[in-house]
Amino acid sequence: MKRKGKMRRIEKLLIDIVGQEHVSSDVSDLVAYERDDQFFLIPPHRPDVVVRPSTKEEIQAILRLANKYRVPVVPLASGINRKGLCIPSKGGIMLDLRRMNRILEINEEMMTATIEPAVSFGQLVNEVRKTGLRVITPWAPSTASVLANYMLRGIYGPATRYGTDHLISIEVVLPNGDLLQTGSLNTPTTNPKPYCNIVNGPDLCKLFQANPGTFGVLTKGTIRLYPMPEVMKPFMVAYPNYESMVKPAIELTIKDVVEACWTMTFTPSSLRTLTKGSHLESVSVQLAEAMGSEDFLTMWLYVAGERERAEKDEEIMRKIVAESGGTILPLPPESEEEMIKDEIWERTSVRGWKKGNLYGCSFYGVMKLAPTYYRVCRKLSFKYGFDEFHYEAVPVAPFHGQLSYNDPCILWDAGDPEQVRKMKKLHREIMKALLRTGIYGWFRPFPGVVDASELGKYGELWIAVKKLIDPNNIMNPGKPPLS
Amino acid sequence: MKLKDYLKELYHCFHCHLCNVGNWHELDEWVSICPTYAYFGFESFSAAGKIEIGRAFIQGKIKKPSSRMLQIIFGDLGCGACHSQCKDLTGLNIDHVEFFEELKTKLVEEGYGPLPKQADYARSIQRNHNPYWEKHEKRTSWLNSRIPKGGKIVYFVGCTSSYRTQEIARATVEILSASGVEFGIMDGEEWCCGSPLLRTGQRKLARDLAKHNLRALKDAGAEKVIFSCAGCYKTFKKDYPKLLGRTLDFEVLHTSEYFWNLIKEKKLRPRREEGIKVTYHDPCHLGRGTGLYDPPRQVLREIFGRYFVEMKRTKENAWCCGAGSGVKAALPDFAIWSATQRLEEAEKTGANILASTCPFCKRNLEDAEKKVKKGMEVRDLSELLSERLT
Repeated sequence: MKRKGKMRRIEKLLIDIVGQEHVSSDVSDLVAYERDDQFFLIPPHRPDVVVRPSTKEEIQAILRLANKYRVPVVPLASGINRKGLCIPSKGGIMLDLRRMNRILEINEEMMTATIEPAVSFGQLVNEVRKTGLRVITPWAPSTASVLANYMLRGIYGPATRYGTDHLISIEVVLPNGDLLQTGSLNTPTTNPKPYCNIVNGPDLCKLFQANPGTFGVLTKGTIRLYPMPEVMKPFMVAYPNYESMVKPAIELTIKDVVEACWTMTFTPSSLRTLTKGSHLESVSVQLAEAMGSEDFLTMWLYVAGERERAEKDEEIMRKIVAESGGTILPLPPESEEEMIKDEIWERTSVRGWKKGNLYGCSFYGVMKLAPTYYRVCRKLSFKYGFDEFHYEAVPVAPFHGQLSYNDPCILWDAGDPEQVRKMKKLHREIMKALLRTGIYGWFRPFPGVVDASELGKYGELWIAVKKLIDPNNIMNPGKPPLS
Repeated sequence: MKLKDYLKELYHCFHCHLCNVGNWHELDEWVSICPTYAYFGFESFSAAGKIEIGRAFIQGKIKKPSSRMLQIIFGDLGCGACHSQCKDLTGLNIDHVEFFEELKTKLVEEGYGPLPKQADYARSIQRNHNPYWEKHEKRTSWLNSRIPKGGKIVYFVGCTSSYRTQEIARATVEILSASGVEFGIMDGEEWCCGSPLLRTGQRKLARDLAKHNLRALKDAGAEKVIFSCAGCYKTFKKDYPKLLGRTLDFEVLHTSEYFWNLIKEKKLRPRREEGIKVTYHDPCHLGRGTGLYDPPRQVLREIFGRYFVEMKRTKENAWCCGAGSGVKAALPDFAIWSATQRLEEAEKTGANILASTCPFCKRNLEDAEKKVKKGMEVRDLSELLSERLT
């Protein structure tokens, strides 16, 4: 009752800040935020109130209020709540940022875009492609927030050439309502510009990256744009086993011959599900028949750049593929066109969910170990009866340490309580097995995956920084580094 | 499918929100497609939000729906734009339109909803067999010539054209007469098809209407029933068989497909119109609702040739006019806003005429035009054709 009374007061104060029409504590507005696809690991929980600000000043006022009354705040950018990151596990204020969807600047000369947090990849690409530039897009739905994705470091189609760091500077409201700007925005000069991060000391933008709304609320960010390649050509290469794929993947990456290099495996059943009704269905049906019970192993490569360079790159790529025993598969023109759109425009498809749900336990590891990771995860998946298994490993620039993004994916059905029970166990086993095999670490600070208390001094310092910035732990409590 | 049977499937929505935007690989532009989400802004008004509301209601996590929840659920347009995006992309195997209708029906059964204006027109239907509080005796007041009752080919006029957009009824009769087809109407035996009730969860009353209409059409000897209203057409074609558990005894045709057949058979020879640019709005019940996209376009091309132009959002990616599912009655400001968006899109094509094939779309688009004065002429396909008969 006491809590309800407090939240009623808070709601009135929130209305004062953003107006009645942008605040609701009605249960029908709240249930929409209580669950995401990771509900089997992160139990559903409703916020007490949802508020929709549209300016940084409003966000500052909201955080000052929340900090004063010690009410949790969970920021949500474009609304794609994944892997428990935005579940308001302790209730409080759901800060829905979708009114902050303005593209503030596209600067062709500086090759940058400055945007608000709810700008989606689709929205941004739509504008940027009117110039000669390109947005580096993730393998995620085009509705995903650019800044949320870049802040949490996604995996991008062309990560093999362009890596995962596309953020230059940010503006963030701290839990006490103060405004912080990183990089060159803070240089005491006339009309400071946001286009440089490596000035005046440490790049504090990095401090906020990979913290899932736990250090503050992003209100704008400046990102890198890249030249649109004159030529882009996708290739699908088949291999007899994973080992034979790894060597050419490493060579192609080191020689910078391709912008994207996705080594992938599919069990026959996962291949059927993933391609059903798609432009690749006819190809995959033939492949599945030829495979029998064997996995289909393939490398997706994209040659891209100025025409002259692309032609040379293709020549080298074909040589490397041939020498490693790979077979370049013929692609129907519509498949080629769709693959290019997926790479440049951003995907519209979320085929990974075709079975209903997609489990992933993504991590960074050593490229040469990808076959081992694959076998370990595949074995465990089958042990629990999940035969729709798919694995992907992608060399990521800069490739020092053979940095690779890895994702064991399982297509499953969370509507089946028995599968939910099994998946909980499988998740723990996969994590343990991967740590035993030797990985660099987990892809993102997902709750139920990353536990700062197991990270020694690093974890202690991470927690200490969190406490320094957010002493009242109002920002997205229950998420790493504090569980 | 009963509401509780949907639960297992609802876990497959992972809130990608691709249901809020048109297929941009196909459209080559990033455009919104969900009117309720675009207008109201809260997550709860998106398809994903409504799915979560439905899930919570089925699970008993929402025991007593609030008035806000009723506004969200009964403010759903049933336009199916979300489903048209979701169905091929994700693993969520539900028809959104059917699920939301099932949710509305369950709510009504449990004594919640519909919205006051939607309940009001249900009372009118019960009393007058039309939702407009008009006297049933005046149902054929639009007629300016004598038309036989019943027969093998029947034109089912529908409530909106009988009482509000009578020019569509008159134009349809003119075209049918010009083609030499022998046809009849149902006179007083035509009752509301029940679409406004089905879309707002008032299924019981709709079932009674379906029984009456089918009995009357059977008694009239109908073998082919033609509809100028997209809502009536969908209701007969898709809902009646489900509602009554049997196939219909007659063929169901929309005027656009019937007219196109008559043109192909040379029974109609429309005059070619040069210089007037026309664009076409897909009614949701006709397009996404039943998959009828081409016949209206074929008729328009026959008349306007190259002056027929498409808007950006067409067919499966069409933007809803905002009138359907009792929304025009219950949330008129929202309905007009949605129609205004469509008028603006039509204006961008350079068209002088915005054509459609649904009296309810026409009415709402016309109301919006009166308000914003874009200078767009909103016409039904039947009017455009009847004016160009040779």
